[in-house]
This record gives sequence, C-alpha cells and structure tokens, in this order.
Amino acid sequence: MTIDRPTVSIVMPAFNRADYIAEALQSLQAEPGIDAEILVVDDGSTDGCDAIVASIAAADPRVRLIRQDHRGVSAARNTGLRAATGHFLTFLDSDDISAPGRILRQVTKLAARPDLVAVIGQRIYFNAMNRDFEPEAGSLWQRTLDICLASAVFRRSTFDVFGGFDEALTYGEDIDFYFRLFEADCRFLIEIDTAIYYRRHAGNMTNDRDAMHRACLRAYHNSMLRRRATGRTRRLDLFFFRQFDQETEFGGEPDTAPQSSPLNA
Amino acid sequence: MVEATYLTVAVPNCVADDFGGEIVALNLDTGFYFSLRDLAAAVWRDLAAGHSVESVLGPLGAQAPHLAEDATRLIDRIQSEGLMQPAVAVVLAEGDPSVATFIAGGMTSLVIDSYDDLRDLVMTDPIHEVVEEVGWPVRREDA
Repeated sequence: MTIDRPTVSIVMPAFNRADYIAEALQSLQAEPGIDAEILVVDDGSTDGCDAIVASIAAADPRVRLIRQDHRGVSAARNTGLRAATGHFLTFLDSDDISAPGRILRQVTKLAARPDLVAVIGQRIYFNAMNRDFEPEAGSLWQRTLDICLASAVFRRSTFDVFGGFDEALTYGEDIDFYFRLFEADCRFLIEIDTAIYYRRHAGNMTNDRDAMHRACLRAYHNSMLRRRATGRTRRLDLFFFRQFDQETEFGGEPDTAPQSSPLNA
Repeated sequence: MVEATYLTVAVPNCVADDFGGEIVALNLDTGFYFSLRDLAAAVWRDLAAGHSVESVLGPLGAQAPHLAEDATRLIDRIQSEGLMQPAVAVVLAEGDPSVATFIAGGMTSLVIDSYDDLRDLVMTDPIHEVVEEVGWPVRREDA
C-alpha cells in the first residue's frame, strides 16, 4: 500500500505542563509528510497550560484543544481517542519530544503490512538536549525499548477492536493496553530507530514509585483475569526491554493477528 | 517449617495489593509475581494485619489437619519467595483472624499461583528509576 499523505491523529494528554508543552507541540508541527490532527486534551490544568495550547491552536488549524475536568491520564487519552478521525494514531506526552520524521516512517511501515498491529521505535530518556537532539555535555541519557504509547504508531481501528484505556488506572494504562495486544498474540514491528525523546524532570508522573508499582500490580491483575476468562495458559511473550541490533518482528503469526480494516481505502 | 511467629510484607522488595479479595504480590528482586485467592488470600491478609502464624493455623487445624499442613506450606512458600519476612516489630491485630470465616464459607483452596512472564519487564524497572551514576532506566545485574 502506498499513501501520499496519511492522516494521523496524535493524542496528547496534558495536565500542568506549561513549561514543556510548546516544545512538545513544535516537534509534532514540524513532522513532515502527514496530515496531522494534533488533539491536546487538557485535563484540568491550572498552570496556564491550556492557554498556551489555545494560542498555538489559533495559529495552526492542525492543533485542537479539548478541555475537560481533571479525570486522569487514562480518561484524557480516551477523550482523544473519541475525537480522533485519522486512519493512524499515535500519542505524545506533553513534556516529551517526537523524533523528527518518526511518524511518517512508522506509518509507512504499518500501512504496508496489514498483519502488524503497531510499529514501535526506541525511546531516549534525557534531562538536557541540544537543538540537534543530542544530549548536552554531562547530561544523562539512555536509549531503550520500553512500554510507551508515544514510541508507536497504531491504526485507529485497533482501538475499536481492543478498546481504549482503563480509567481505573491512574498510572500504567499503557502497560494494560499493551498486555491486551500481547494476550491476543498481535504482531509488532520493532524498530531500532528513535521514536521519542522522554524528558526526565522532577514532575514526571513516573516519579511516584509506590503508586506506579501498585498500578503495575493492577495491570498484571487485569491481565490475569482476562487470561483466566479466555483460558489462555501460554506465557505472554514480551519484547520490551530487550535489545535488538536490527529491525525485528515480534508476536503471533500473521494469520493469528486480528484483522484491521483497510486504511485510506 | 514455620519459624516466625509474626510476618510482614517484605518491603521494599515486595509490593502487594488486594484486588477484590485476590492478593497480587510482586517480588521486585526476582521478577516473579503471585496470585493468592480464597483461603490463601485470607491467610495473607491475616498475617499482614498482624495475626500470628499460630493464630492463623489454629482454626485451620481445628477444621482439618490437612488444612493446617497446607497453610504451613503456603506460609513457607510465601517466605521463600521473598514476599513476607519475619516481623521485627508488629502492630498486633485485634479480633480473630478471618480464616475461620472463610472455612465456614466453604473456601478451602490454599493455592498460590506464580508467573514469570513479566520478568524482563519487572527486572528492568518499568517505572524508570533514576540512578544518577549510570542513567536510566536501570537493568539490574541479575536480570
């Protein structure tokens, strides 16, 4: 399948990220070769974050601000999913940076392979980076393949099949979602290319260690419940945190993967 | 053989929670996670609440000797898997342990299920722990 300009919805949940969100949006606005629909779901920010987005949206019709009362990241993602109209869908957190060219690159690969459920790239953690996306001297950084929605591109129809995000989860909603894909033996393409840059800072949601552990437990429990219900006894075959030196496919055989509707057809 | 009289959840290496009566416990050192349901979950809750091992085993043995034996094996397993450890100090629980209620309700399963399929995930620390000297997230040496 060839696609001239794929339509891609990018969901960005935002809560009190006034310091970073403009840079996050700039990384999406600069993305070439796609018809982007950038859906910023402001989850009740009180720091002026929504005003910054409104200002950017006023100058760029691709950016759309959706305000809601504070309901948590899962609910914000679901709001974005409901508003999304693109054939393809990805995410970006409001304090991170999408690597230049990664969306078109991933969409092109996904569109060519109806048996794939997602194309997933690498995430680079950083605390200081220059304009060329290189870590500043002395800055900590690390490259890893970890559980991250923003490092992947999906078909929007995948969310029709597998559902959105569990709003009972205030953390770990991404783990819970990926588990559903693994439980169905979906097939993935793992890139060695960088997909996003993940900014480490004192306000990271993932800094609340105990809350994150308990959220992981809930996600594990949800997975156990589903596997009991379906009678699945095989282990989940996970690829996260493995290291690959070349592009790799992972998951169930193509004929066992869920069929997605054709896109841009 | 159960040596400790009082046990406590082996924090910080174990994190556990109660999901609608099912205990899910995760050993962050080994990457294994566990599920305890029915009577096994009641034993966990009673021990975690500050009931002594003996006070938990008592009602089980009174109902049927094999229940106390099974529960002893369960408690040994809980400790050997690094989920609970002898308590250095304990806030004693008030009232009777709940296991008797579960036995009366017909719940006698003392099974603990273990899973290792998320080991890579757990051992690499999905919450992106920062260790300033080496960057993050951290993959442990024993992973």
